[in-house]
Amino acid sequence: MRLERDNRRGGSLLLALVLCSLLTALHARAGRMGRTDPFSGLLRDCGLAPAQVAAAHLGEWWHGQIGPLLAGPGLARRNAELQVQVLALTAQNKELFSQKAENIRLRGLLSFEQRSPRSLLAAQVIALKPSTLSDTLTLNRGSASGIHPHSIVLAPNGALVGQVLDVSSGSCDVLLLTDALSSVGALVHNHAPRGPFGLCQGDGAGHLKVIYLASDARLLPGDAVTTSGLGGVFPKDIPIGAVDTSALDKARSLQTAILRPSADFNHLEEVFVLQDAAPAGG
Amino acid sequence: MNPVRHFLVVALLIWLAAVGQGRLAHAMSIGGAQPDLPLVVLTCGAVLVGQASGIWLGFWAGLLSAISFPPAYGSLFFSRIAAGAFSGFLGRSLTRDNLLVPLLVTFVSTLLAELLTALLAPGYAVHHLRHWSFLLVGKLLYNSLLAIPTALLLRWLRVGVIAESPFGNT
Repeated sequence: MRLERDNRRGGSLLLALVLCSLLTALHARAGRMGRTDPFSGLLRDCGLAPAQVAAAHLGEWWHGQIGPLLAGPGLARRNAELQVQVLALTAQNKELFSQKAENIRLRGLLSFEQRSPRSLLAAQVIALKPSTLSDTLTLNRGSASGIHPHSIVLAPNGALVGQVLDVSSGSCDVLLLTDALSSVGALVHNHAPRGPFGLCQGDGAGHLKVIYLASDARLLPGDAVTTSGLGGVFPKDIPIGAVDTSALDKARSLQTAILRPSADFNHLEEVFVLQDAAPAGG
Repeated sequence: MNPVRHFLVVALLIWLAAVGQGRLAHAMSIGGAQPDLPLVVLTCGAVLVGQASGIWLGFWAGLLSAISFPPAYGSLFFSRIAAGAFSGFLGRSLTRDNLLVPLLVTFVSTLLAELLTALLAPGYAVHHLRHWSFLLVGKLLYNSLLAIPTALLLRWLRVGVIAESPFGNT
């Protein structure tokens, strides 16, 4: 009896490991060929992504509808205060109505999507940093929407977020700029005619730094940092952040700048994906 | 409940935990350290359902973890199978009714899974040893704490409880 049970356990383990190896080999092969692993893609699109989308909507509903109800006893007092305010605000309302139409028109004109010379695709973040292994997020758009590996992802304010790492039909994973494996050519706009070039890297702990900056470049806190366009993956002049501090490495005659990122990587809910960036390796 | 239903209940909870991982884990993070919800459910469930089922629960949890972070696909996959098998094995040897058991099993299985992942995918797992160590300790503590409510939930769902016939197995 016991021997039979041990055999069953051994057989299960062997079979699970063989299947695990087969699926891993299939995934690696698809990755080498620049394609999506069909099995994982199907499971993610049918099994995980729809539930994550539903969870994202549930979260939004909770914040909008249930969250205020849990505010506690202070809610009644606050309600009374607000009723007084309503009377005052009603007077202003008529004036604001006339400005509303103009405001909508101007917002449309000035919105980032319309200002951008490139075609953008809006996407919802359905999972944010699910693993401590790496800084990634998952979007509700995939290859069916024209997204491919190395597509560029921007925050709503136009700042660089990262690039698409893996894509299936209905969803994709994005490697954030703050990940230790991310790097992008950077240009510091330090009021010199031609700012110093460097390499912007994440450190895996949520911070950004620009390395390999010339030692004689004068860097001041607040100097804007954008993509340099070198390397061919990231287009030029996408905002990355601003210089916070800088340190000189005398031994190598180089400077390193620590940045304040322009994108809020911890609170991304919607992002834009650049649609016209051609697939490129690296 | 028969063993297949026990297995399906835990598998469903692992799936829910994988969905929640993308929405909740980051919000729960303290200094970057966050729990691994599917791993917690896997270890607590495997203790109750035994080693053979634990292996297949590990396979399921590994698959869901792997598709959530494809660069470390094989490492996550393999480490979760190992964690499921190990937890199932420990469940056979320990008194499962004690609430400290899932806590300890989750602690040890999380340590095993994370060390295996780091060993198999060092380029993704360990960028800075000090930071990785901090995240590991945070995850160990977080997972261990979450193991108690998870074990209570599984107990409430009567996972691992097999009704005994007063006439014995015929």
